[in-house]
Amino acid sequence: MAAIEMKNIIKTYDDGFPAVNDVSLDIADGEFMILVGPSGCGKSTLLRMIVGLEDITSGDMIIGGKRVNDKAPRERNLSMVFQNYALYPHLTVYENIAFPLRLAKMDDQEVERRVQEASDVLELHEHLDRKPANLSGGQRQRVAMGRAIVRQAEAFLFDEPLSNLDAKLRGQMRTEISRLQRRLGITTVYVTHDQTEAMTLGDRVAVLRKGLLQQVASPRELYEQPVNLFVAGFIGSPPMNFLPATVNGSTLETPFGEVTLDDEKARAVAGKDLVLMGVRPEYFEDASLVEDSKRNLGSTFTARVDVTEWLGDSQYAYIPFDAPKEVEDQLKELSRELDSDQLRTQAIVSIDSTSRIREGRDAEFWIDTRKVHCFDPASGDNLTRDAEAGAKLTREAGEDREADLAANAERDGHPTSAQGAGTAPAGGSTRV
Amino acid sequence: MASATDLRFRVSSPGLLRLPWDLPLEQWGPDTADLRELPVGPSRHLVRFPYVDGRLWAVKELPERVAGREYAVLRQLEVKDLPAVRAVGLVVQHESGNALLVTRYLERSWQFRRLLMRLPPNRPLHRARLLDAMASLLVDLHRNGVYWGDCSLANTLFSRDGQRLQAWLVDAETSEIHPELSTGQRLDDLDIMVENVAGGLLDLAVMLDRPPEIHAQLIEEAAGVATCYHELWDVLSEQPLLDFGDRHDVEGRIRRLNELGFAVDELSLQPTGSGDERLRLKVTVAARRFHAVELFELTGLEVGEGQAQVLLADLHSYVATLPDTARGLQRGPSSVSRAEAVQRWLDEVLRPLMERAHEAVGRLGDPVQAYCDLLEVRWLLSEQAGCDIGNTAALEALANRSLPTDSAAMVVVAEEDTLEMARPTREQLEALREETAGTGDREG
Repeated sequence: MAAIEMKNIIKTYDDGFPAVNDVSLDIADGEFMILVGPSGCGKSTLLRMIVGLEDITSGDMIIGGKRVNDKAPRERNLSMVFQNYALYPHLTVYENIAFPLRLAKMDDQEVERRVQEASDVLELHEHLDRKPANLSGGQRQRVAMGRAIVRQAEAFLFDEPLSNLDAKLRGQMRTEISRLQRRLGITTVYVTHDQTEAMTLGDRVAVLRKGLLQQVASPRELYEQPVNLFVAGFIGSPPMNFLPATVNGSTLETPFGEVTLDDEKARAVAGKDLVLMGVRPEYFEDASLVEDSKRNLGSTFTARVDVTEWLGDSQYAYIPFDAPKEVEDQLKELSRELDSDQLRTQAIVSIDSTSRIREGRDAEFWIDTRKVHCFDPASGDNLTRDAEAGAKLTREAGEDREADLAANAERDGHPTSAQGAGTAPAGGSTRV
Repeated sequence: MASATDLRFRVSSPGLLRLPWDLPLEQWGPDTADLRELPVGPSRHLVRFPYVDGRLWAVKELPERVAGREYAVLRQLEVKDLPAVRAVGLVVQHESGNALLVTRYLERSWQFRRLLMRLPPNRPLHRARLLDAMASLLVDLHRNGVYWGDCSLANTLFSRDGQRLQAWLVDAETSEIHPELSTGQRLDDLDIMVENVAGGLLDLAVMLDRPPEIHAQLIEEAAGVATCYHELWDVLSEQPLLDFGDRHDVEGRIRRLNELGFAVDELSLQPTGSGDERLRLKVTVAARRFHAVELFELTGLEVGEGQAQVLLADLHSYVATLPDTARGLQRGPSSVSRAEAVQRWLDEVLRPLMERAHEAVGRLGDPVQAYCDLLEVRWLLSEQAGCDIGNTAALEALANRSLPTDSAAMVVVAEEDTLEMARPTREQLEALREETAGTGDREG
């Protein structure tokens, strides 16, 4: 198992299109890194450069301390899990797992050792003599993972592995992959366009846009301290709302009335005439349900509700708003880029499921102004990002991961290679 | 619900349109479709075979996104004239998020299990034909920028082509088409193929209760596919440096390419630009149809490249026996006598013997192939006998199936099975159920 370092990686195609543009990214030994972004962002190209399927135009790809730019895929000893594998119906589960080792002409004793070890991790022991036909769907997937494990690859790579599965199996497999990665402590790079996978699986998530790395951070840091409009809009479902806001000292004039900023945020937006105020749906509430003690920590406003959606445990209200044309155009462009049909000029707000706010009527809402971010409409930069708070979140995620790995190693009675070594860059989020 | 279903077809087959496209494939029943069971082996997704308007079709259910991608890839493979199944329709069932991909079932083709199970046990030569075909297919795909991603025996169909087999790509779920493949993509695809082929062969050996001692040999044979691939790839892609005076070397290289079945599409000799006086030879070859085109130009017959090689050799040896006046074929531009020689071969040799050979094999398969089999059997039996055994004896051997064990003609026994394909035995059905139940979704 090994760390993967990418230094100024560029991939330019013959037509001059830079699919990956100067990406530098360090993946620690044992870390679970997600590459995420809308289609065409370069995430799959980057993964393929790690594997060796795409030539690297410039930059260094270093795996386990060795530069591998010119090495064939097999020589890199990485395992593309689930990419293409067949379970052979007439071979036992044992032989299905052992199969790559047989091809490598490994001696029986070593084969036995590795298959037993893999089946321990995968809890397949009692099934080793069975045929794949006698296994459940999930167990069959584990056999396939077993085949990847016995190879003892330097890292596991996944390229949208769950996109072909139905929703039920997808959920199961997500849990399985996560459990396995922790248990094995193996460096993992996982490409997805699905932000649920990104947020639930990764120690850190690298968000890409048009070949450029936007931010690398723990899921929580991405969510709470995004570096720009793109990351803020991409991470979170329903997405963050962006409201045009005219700056007037420490007050923002928004379509939903005035919002007062704290001193620090006010300083951050000083000198700007117009910003985009970003508010996640859950930072709104039905004002009638907000306790008095909390009420003055935010602002209230009255607006007409277009649609409400009651989902049992949660409820959303949709509130249209007007925006200057330039802002509207920009939101449309962002929406298009994120492959989203949301993010239009209507706010999606999460309200308590007991709220009696109804469609077509005016209602009073509350915004938790402590949690808003302000973005520069021209550059998209998050003007109010608290880098330190963000770094703390990522640092905590790294500590959790190390604790998990250590606990697993202790349980298995052997140290994992990731123990102690798997430290994510301490600075937390990397902004590129 | 019809409104939630999008249908797109590229064939006009009224019966096909009448199939229950609004239902999940699993729910198709005998009341709505004439379904045939084929022992196709494991598949990631459910595949069923309706028999409609006198033809067999394959319908595969898979997530909409994957289906759309596979449909697009198959269409491009068709445009590039590569050996792959032809996509004829895509039906999207919006409610379930699934789609049904419809392909034309490749007639007179077999899955490797069917083929190898019907042939005499453990004959490496038969396997070699199969594996040669795989390597050749992969080279063809790679030359055209196609990364297969999951090349396996199970994802390939085989058809007869003279003394060779032609491999066809059947499953393009993981395939991608690029302007050109990187070396990494090619090698990775090749690694996948070797591994999958070994797996397929081992699995079949276990299924057929072959002794475990042959496993190592099967693994070696699978590894040999890579050697085959590299040999062919190197011949097609080498760009040697030649002195200006060595231009005649070019001729030898072209002859070699032609022998392998490739016609030269473009040839260039250009300075290296590095002060070196030598020239770099680049040869671009067309599809592997050199002999097929030659035979077509001579006779109007449209056959496979492997069959054309056999027929042309037969034609040339026939012409060699004619009196000089009729040997225009070999003598140059005397078109009348050349045409006459060809006509005589067609009338006196090919047509009557093809008819008799086809009769001898029980009118199975393609008549041209039956004639190729006759020629091979006659040749091999004559070699064994030490003298020419003649057509009658060879026809008899064909009819009795007393064929040389390793002959390509032995594959005719697999043809017999084709007639039965719509009516599988109970054992076959049980085996099929076991297999597909076991590996219905092998991707995670």
